[in-house]
Amino acid sequence: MAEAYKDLDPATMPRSPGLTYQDLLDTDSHDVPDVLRLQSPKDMGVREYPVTRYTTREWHDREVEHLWKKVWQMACREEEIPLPGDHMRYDIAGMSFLVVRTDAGDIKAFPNACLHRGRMLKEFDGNATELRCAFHGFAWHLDGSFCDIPADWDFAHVDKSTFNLPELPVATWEGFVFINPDQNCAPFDDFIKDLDEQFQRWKPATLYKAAHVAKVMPCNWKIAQEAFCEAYHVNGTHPQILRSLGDVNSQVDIWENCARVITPGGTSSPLLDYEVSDQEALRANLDLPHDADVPEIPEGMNLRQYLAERSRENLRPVAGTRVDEYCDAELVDSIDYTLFPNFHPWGAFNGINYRFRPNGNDHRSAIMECIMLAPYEGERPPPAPVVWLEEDQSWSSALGFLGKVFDQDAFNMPRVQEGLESTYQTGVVLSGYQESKVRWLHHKLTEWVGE
Amino acid sequence: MASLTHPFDPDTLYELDGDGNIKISNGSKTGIFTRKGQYISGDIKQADPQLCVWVGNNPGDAMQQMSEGGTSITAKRT
Repeated sequence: MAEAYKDLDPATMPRSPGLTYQDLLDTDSHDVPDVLRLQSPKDMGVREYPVTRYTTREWHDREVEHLWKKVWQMACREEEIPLPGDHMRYDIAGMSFLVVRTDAGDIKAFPNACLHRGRMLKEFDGNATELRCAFHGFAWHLDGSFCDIPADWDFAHVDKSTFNLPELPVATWEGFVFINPDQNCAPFDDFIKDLDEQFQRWKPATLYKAAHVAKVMPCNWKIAQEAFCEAYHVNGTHPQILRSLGDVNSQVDIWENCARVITPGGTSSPLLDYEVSDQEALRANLDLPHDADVPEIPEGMNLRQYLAERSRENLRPVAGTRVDEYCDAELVDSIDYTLFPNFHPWGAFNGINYRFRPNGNDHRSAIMECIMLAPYEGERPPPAPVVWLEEDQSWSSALGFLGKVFDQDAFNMPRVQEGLESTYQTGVVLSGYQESKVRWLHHKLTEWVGE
Repeated sequence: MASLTHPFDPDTLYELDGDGNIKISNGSKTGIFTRKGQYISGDIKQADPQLCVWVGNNPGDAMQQMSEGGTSITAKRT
């Protein structure tokens, strides 16, 4: 059993010199919502977590058995299956599931397998009037109830009244569909409670899926995921943004089933040993060449306020007057939530969502996805289909500036895998506070999978 | 052309050169590196690989490559 972790006092806990995140919020030009004033730092201990969690088949097999077969996991967006018969395939760790919109309009999930000889029922996402197997033609209605066996005189021994597809627990939250492979799982409400309380203001259900990009990464899924779970790596991996990002000013909050790291933008890193002018910080933020002109920041505005105002005006055409309620922090800062085990919806209005999972049953490769949600006016636009990047395609080719940042993270990932395969260390060494979300993930893994 | 000075060493400039490599300069010294930070030539012999990745990553180029044979959000949605 994992050790319990303890509350820390934000006033006395060890933290970076310089401004705290809460100090920065005090300078906001708008009212700051209560959710950003929450502080939940935790003492997660200082233990090392075994390298074998990333490198061995044995640990992966235990994850499959005790985590992926048991845990609630985000499968798709509701908007991707709006009509009866719409279905999505969700695969995890060698298992395949079907998420289906029924004739009655509700959503059901089934193992993606025919009850006859086991063939996968649907290879592709799409629309169907029934779930008919392409092997011998066995069929089920959209709600999973038995429909048809060709030449059924030869199956008199099958009780058609009970020959239904096994139904998996399904739940929805803010437009996302979650399934659980475990038919006896814990209630979804308990699983989502922490996160739900904190997203009351932001309501991702009101957004549409504007982009969805996926790529197979040559590393364990946790290596990919943990690259997005702390801001401590910014000094090494994203040095170009240090003049405009308070990396080690980040606030880390841990709850039972979710955690967050908030990293302030529009403020320079305490790791720089010189004063950064607002103009140079703005240059870094806008990724302008070293000799290009930088926009003037209006008199009476600080950099954070200026960046927030630019963001408000960018969003105004699609979000309307709602943007005037958004505080600077909601528009400028990175508010990266993680819902155990692998779903990362960003708070506020950034629209970024990550999902990380094993690539099939391979513990040395992962699927990394970025789902961008965006506001809209009028009728909901159709959801963007997933775009799979090839091995040699960059994230920037699909996601522009954001993708450039991912490409730097991706540059590390296979090297971390190779390093962990080579190291003489038995455990990974994590910081106490800045990497406490990574500690929390491993703490949860210990609870689910064991040591 | 993408360029920036290193935040930890503001006298050192990273920029994309005309050959698609990264030119690093500090005063009269220069060095040429690949977009992944591998040394090619010059008297500056070491580079921050992540800044080479950043300066050398031009989504415009990549978009061009993808439009010739791959897929992109733009291509998929139009």
